[in-house]
Amino acid sequence: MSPTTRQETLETAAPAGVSGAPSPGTGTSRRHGWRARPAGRSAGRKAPVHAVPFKVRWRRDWQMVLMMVPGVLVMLLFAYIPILGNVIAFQDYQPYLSIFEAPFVGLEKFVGLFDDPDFLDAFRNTMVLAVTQLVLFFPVPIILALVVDSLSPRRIRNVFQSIVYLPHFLSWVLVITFFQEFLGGAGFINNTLKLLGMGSIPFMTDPSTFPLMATIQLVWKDAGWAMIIFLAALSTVDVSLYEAAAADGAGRWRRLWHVTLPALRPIIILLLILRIGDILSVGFEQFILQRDNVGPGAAEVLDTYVYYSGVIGGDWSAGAAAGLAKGIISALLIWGANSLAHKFGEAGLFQKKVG
Amino acid sequence: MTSLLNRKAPGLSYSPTRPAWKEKPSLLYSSLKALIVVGVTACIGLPVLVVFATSFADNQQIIHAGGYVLWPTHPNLDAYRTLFSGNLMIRALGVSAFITVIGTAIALFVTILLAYATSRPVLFGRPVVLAVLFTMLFSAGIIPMYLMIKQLGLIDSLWSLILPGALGGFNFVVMRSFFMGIPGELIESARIDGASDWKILWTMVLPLSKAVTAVVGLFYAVGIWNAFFNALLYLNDTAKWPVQVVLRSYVLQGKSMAADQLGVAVQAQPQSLQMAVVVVALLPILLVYPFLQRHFTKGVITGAVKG
Amino acid sequence: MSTATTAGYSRRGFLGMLGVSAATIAIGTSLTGCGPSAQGGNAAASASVKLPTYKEFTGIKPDLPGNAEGLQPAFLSMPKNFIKTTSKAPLIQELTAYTETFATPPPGMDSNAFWKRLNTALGANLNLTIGTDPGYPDKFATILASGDLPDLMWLPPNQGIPNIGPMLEAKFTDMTTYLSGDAVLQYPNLAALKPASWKTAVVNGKIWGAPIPSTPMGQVMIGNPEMWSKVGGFKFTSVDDFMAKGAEVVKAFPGSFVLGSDYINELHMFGEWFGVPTTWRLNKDRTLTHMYETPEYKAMLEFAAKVFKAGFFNPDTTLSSFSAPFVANKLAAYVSVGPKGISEPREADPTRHGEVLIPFGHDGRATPVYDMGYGTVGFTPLKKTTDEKRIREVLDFYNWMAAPFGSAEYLQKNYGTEGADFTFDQGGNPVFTKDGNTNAPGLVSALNIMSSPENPIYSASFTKDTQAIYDASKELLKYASRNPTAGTYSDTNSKLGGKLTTAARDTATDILTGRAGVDTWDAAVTKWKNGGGDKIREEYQKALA
Repeated sequence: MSPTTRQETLETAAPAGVSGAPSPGTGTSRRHGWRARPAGRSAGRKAPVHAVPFKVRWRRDWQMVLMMVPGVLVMLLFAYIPILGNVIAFQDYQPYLSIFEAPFVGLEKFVGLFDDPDFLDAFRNTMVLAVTQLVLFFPVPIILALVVDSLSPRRIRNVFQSIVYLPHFLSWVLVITFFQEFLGGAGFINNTLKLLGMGSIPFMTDPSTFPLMATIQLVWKDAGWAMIIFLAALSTVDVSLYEAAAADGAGRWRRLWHVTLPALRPIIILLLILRIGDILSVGFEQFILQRDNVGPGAAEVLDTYVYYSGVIGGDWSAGAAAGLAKGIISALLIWGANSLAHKFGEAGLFQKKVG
Repeated sequence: MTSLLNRKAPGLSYSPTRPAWKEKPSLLYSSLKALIVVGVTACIGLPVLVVFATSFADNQQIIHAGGYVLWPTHPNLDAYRTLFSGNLMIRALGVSAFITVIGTAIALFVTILLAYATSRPVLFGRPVVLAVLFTMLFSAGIIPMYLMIKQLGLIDSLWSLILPGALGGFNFVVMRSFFMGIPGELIESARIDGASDWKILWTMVLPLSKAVTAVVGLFYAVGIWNAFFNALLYLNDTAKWPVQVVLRSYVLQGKSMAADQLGVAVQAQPQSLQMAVVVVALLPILLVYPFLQRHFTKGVITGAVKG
Repeated sequence: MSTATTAGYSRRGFLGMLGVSAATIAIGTSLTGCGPSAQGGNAAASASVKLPTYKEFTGIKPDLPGNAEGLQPAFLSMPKNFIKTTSKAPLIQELTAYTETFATPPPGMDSNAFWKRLNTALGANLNLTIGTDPGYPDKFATILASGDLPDLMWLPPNQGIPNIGPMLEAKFTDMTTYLSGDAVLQYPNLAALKPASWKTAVVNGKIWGAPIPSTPMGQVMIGNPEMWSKVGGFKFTSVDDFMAKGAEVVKAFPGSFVLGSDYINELHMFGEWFGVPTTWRLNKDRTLTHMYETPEYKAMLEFAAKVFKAGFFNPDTTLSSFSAPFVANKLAAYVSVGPKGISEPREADPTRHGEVLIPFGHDGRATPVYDMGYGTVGFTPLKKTTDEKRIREVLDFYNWMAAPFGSAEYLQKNYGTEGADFTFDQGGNPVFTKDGNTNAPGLVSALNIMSSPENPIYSASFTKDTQAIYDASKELLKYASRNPTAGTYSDTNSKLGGKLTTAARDTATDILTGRAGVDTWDAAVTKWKNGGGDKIREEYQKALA
């Protein structure tokens, strides 16, 4: 990776790269040493590579380290220690046994997972749904945010904003019920078609169009909710930039292209990477609820597969194995997406170590 | 609608919302926007309206309408009376309000500190960030979580719904990314002036990050407000149940495999009650949102700082 | 696996369990005195134990008598004099229990006068942890893993709690010596539980607690009299007759549907018309044939696909209640838990009721079957202890909780104290007061899922349906068929049954909806057999040999 790409200046634990002042003498000069730039905007490489002694860095950073303590503590207690329980993925665990009693079975549970043709079906469905969601869902909140951002007067803007984010709080049961009432076999559209003497359209029960249907449902439910984060990002856009652009004669669309979107870019990239890392989780309730509608051939996804094979059958170990496998795949995906972002000169999710 | 959105006539009460540098919208542009706004509002507003209307409708009308009504002909509060009979619901609302407020405050505190500390290139910063990312990829199962909660003596304590979620990976990442967008020069000059990191965070960084704080706070609040499964696992005393657990017991009873399989005939709740449940779950969020909304507007301060 | 299961399993069972996906892992920090998994949980042993001696309770005479074939006695109104069946309060010290409610959860003990009065009657506090659905099996597992068990835990027979055998051996108390044979006579209310009920509580040849009888009747199809009367009534001579009448009904009531959308339940009903065995068929040579393997089942699937194609099913698979479309005459029939389902439409409209379909032969000649239900809702074992005094105390508690219908204890448990929790109406039937209505239903549901006497047919609110339910039951019992493996135990079924059944049902639903041809069924059966079905058969055959 080229040493001039900007993300390297951004990263935190790159002490050598960021300590500008080699002499660890006075407090002020040390403090000058670290600085971060607006993510993804400024370019330029700062300091030479120099190791700063731990003691010096501690004296410089102890307050910041102190601030990490509550978060790290929460993480240790409620994430890391419990995560150790995943060791049962290599055992034949039952809740009435303690983890020390459960027989060790090696990779059997993992092998069992990938041996099952149903698993591969579920995997395929998950990928199809994930890609559909990525293409059709992901841009919608951004567009919505831009629409809301451009709305005036404020009252309409606020009311509209509140309305679009509401469906997030409706349960999937209700959302799918609404879709049934409208698009289902006995729903509004099909009843109307019947009255007009036309055949009905199986919106809700056609397995081949299910990914599309599922994504439309997702857009309806969550696009407004996902929009909020972009609205927040938009609020950090410097108004004077618009003014300046307008003064230069940039029209509405040019301002959008040259001011608004660049400001949104880091958060878009960030969320995109997170989404890619989370690609194996396309949803659970939504699919289990529509399993009868379109059949497991279309609606079985990894999470429902694990539910049926692991949880219903009480195979806790298989569930853990599936979780671990999923985590590893996700980690690879995130890492890949992040590297790709770096290639394009974006800050991404985390920064590579300077070396 | 179009005329409402973008008044053509200058000088009318709406025009001040448009800055001087902004051009007047074209007809096509306005219509397009109006179309989106009206379309989206109808798509979402109608079903939500149906939920509200049905919750106030009487049983006869609902049955004749086939389950849902657009407007109650004989509006009544029966469903809400049933929900609020006894003290279970009131208590649950109190519990939920408590854990949401306290929980959000604690989670924001923890997240802001960690996100800010790791948004600068400091000691331990990178490993901590990677550690958080790791927790997003690998989750612990319900049994080890339960054992941890038990070890800490939090079974049957409301803290069991607050503490485990005090650091959300996604929220952390978002917050940190916003903090990283704050120019380093600004912070460094404050450091040179001798301000402590703590002071810089609270007096400089946070006022610049109102929008993201509002968003992340909302995410946390909604997460806690919707807490259901954890409450079921960790709380034995029904008096401590948050509102979602109680609400679900109205909606779900008798519809599950268990009741069917066991041959337990359970009385189905009237549709109006089920919709009232949705309303009760929805309303607090609906009321809170406008207060957060104002932070999503482009701030002058931000502009000044960056300029 | 009972046949009396529903599509609800897949659709509705765990709403809100978002995010449980892979989060099903355990760490065992708990150390217990019990050894690792007990060996030899085989079905043969289950069959060998001497069941508790049956001694009928004769203290109260029902209005309509029951019989040995499974007909439940019926009470047209609540009996007048409430006999006390126990001599003392059963509890000496506090008893904790994990149970589930199927009603809105009750207010906590501290603010629940009904609960406090119950505690007084019991002699000590009955401290319940009340689970709801979904989540019961999950919490069960976490409690189990933590090693910190309440005294009693309700163990549902078929609800996602697998590997019952080794679990019981590791964590719960074997009560065989206290209950087997004549030993039970010391607890007369437990002796009044039928041997068929007791079978549920026998695993590995040991009795693990008192069973919880429910109704012995299985699912039935409930028809809408207002709609079917237009086409000559809710009875059919053959499936062709059913198709013809169904089409007429839809024509007579535009926009209506013949059947609900719970495909698995409908398949179950069709199966009865085709003579499909009740899960297993016991052949003359004592071998077993599973219903999936029979030609009847495949023929039934073919028919089901035809019914779907004719548009008989309501297409709304998320329909939350069938009562509303039923009373609106938009739904002509649906499947209910049992004959008592005829009262269900009254929830939506008190003037409306349903009628029970008596199964008929699919071709007009074959003998239909009526599948009896599971009969119990499991049992409630006691956590492992060797303290005989405590075991006796819990047995006294079981005995109190199993007090028969019409007894003083039954009244206290189900309705509370007269004047405070309930009053009697003119018919002598108990009606909750306002306080009772707030405090009782959630708690009573939780109590009755963990303990029960043999139940008669009785309805406090819809007394006039009692006679109809009784009559329908009598008629249904002519075709009664029982799962020959009921009450026996198979390790493999306990471990894999749920998964295997889900897979087979998925294919059956695919065939019904036309997503797959009926020819795909053979492959599904092979998969079922190889995936564990054959092994389950072997274990059951051994048990029944």
